[in-house]
Amino acid sequence: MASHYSITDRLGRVAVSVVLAFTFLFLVLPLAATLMISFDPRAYLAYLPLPGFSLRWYQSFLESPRFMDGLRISLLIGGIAAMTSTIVAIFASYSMVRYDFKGKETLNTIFLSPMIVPEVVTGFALLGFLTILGLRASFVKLLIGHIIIVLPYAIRTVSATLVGFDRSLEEAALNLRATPVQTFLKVTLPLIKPGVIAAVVFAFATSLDDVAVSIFLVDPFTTTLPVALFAYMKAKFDPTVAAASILLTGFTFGFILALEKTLGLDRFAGI
Amino acid sequence: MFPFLGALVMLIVESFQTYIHGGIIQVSYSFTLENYVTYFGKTFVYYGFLWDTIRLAGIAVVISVLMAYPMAYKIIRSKSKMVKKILLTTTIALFFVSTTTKVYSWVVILGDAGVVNSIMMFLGFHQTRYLGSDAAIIIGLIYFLIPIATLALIGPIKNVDPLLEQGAMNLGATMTKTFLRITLPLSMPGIIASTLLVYAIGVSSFIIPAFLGRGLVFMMANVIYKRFSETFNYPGGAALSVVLVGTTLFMAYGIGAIMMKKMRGFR
Repeated sequence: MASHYSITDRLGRVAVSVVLAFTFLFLVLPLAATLMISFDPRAYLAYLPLPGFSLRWYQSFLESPRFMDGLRISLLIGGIAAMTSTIVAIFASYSMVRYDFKGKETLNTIFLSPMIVPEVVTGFALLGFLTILGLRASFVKLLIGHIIIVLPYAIRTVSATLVGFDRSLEEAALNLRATPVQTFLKVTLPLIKPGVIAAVVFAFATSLDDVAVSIFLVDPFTTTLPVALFAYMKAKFDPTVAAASILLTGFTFGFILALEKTLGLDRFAGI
Repeated sequence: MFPFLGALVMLIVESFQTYIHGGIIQVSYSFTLENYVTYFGKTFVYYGFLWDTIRLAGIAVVISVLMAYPMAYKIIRSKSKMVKKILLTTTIALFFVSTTTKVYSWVVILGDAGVVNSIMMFLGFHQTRYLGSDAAIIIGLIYFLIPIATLALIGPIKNVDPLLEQGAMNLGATMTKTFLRITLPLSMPGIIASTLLVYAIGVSSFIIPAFLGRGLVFMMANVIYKRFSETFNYPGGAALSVVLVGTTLFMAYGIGAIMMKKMRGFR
C-alpha cells in the first residue's frame, strides 16, 4: 500500500514526530532541573552551574518534624479516603449500573458534582459548613474533604469496568444456585478487580496531591505534606522542596512500576 | 455527599450575608446583595480576574489538547510497542507526579536565577523576569494539563474502529485524508467532552498561578483564597465562589451544547 503515502503524509509524519519529541522533552526536562537543584549546596536558588554536590536538603527534609508529620497524616488520610471511597464507589456504581430506580440520574450527578466545582470552592465551603456544625478536629475535616473530592474519580473508574461487563456470567452463577451475595463476591468482584485497583490508585493519588481543599481545613498542629510544602515554598525557596519533590517522585515511580507489574499500565489507562 | 451539598447550600446563603469585620462565620436571616455589588457592581477589577482566569485556562487547554492528541494517538495506534510503552509510561508517571513538584520545577526553570536565566546570562543576555507573566502561568498549566488531556483522549481515539481507517486506505485515501475524514470526525465528540473536562480542571487551578503568577497575575481560585487568608471575609469569598462556579458551569455547558450542535450539522 506504499502508493497511498503522499507527500502530505510524509510531511504530516515528520510534523507529528517533531511535536511528539517536543512534548516528550517538555514533560521530562523540568523534572531533571529539579533533580539537579536538589543537590545544590547553596541555601537559595542561584545561577547555574552548581558549585558542588550536597545531600543536605534531603537531610533537611527528612529531619523536619513538620514535613514528616505531614507525610504521616497525608498517607493516613489518603489511605482511609481511598479505601472508603472505593467501597462506596463499588456499591454506588453497582446499583446505578445494574438497577433502574427513580432519581438515578440525579444521584449520579450529585456523586460526580465535586469534579465540576473548583477545589478551592469545595474547601472554602466545607470550612464554613463544618465550622457551623461545630466540628473542630482537623483530621476529621480533612478526611471528609478528601473523601468528597476522590469519590467521583473512584465512581467513574469502577462504573467504567461495570459497564463493559458480561452479565451472563452473573446469571450463570445465579442459575447454579449461588446467592446474590455469593455471586457478587465470587463472580462480580473478581471480574471488576482491575477497575477497583485503578480506583484505589486514582483516589489515593488525588488525595495525596491535594492542596486547594486541605489548605482550608488544616490547623497549626495537623497539616498534610502538600500544604506544608506549599507554606514552606511561600516563605522561602531553598532546595528542601526540590529534595522532597525528588523523593516523592521516586515514590510515585515505584508505585507506577508496581501498578505495571500487577495490573498493567494498558489496563490502567483503559486501553 | 451530605457535607458537600450542605456546604454548597451554605455557601450560597452566606454569599448574601453582611460581612462583619473580624467576625466569624455566622448564619443569620439577613439578605443583602452587597457582596456581589462590591465585587461586580462598583469596579471592573474582578471582571479582570474572571477574564484572566478564563483566558489563561482557555489558551492552556487548547494548546495542551493539541499537544496531547498526537501522544494519545500514538499510544493507541503506533506500530512500535516500544513507542507505545514509553509514551504511556511517561504520561501516567507525569500524571501522578505531584502538582507541587511540577510548579517547583517551573520556578526552578523560569525563576530570576533559574535555568533559563542562567543560560541567557551565559550567552550574554540580561536577566529577564519570567515569573509573574501570563506566559509563565500558561506554560505551568500546559505542563499540568497534558497528562490529564492525554489520558482523557485515549478513550475517544480508541473508540474509532481501525477497520474504518483501513477501509478508507484500501479505497485509495492517503493517510492524511483518512485521518482528517475518518479518525478526527469520529473522535470529535469525545475530544470535545475531554476538552471540557480539562477546561474545568484548568480553570480551577490554584497552586500553579499561586507560584508562577507571583502575586502579579491572579486566577479566581487565588482571589478566593485571599479572601480567606488575608481578611477572613467569608461572605465575600462565598460570593466570588458562586460567581466562579456559575461562570464555569455556564461556559462548559454553553460551549458543549454549541459544539455538539455544530457537530451534528457536519454529519
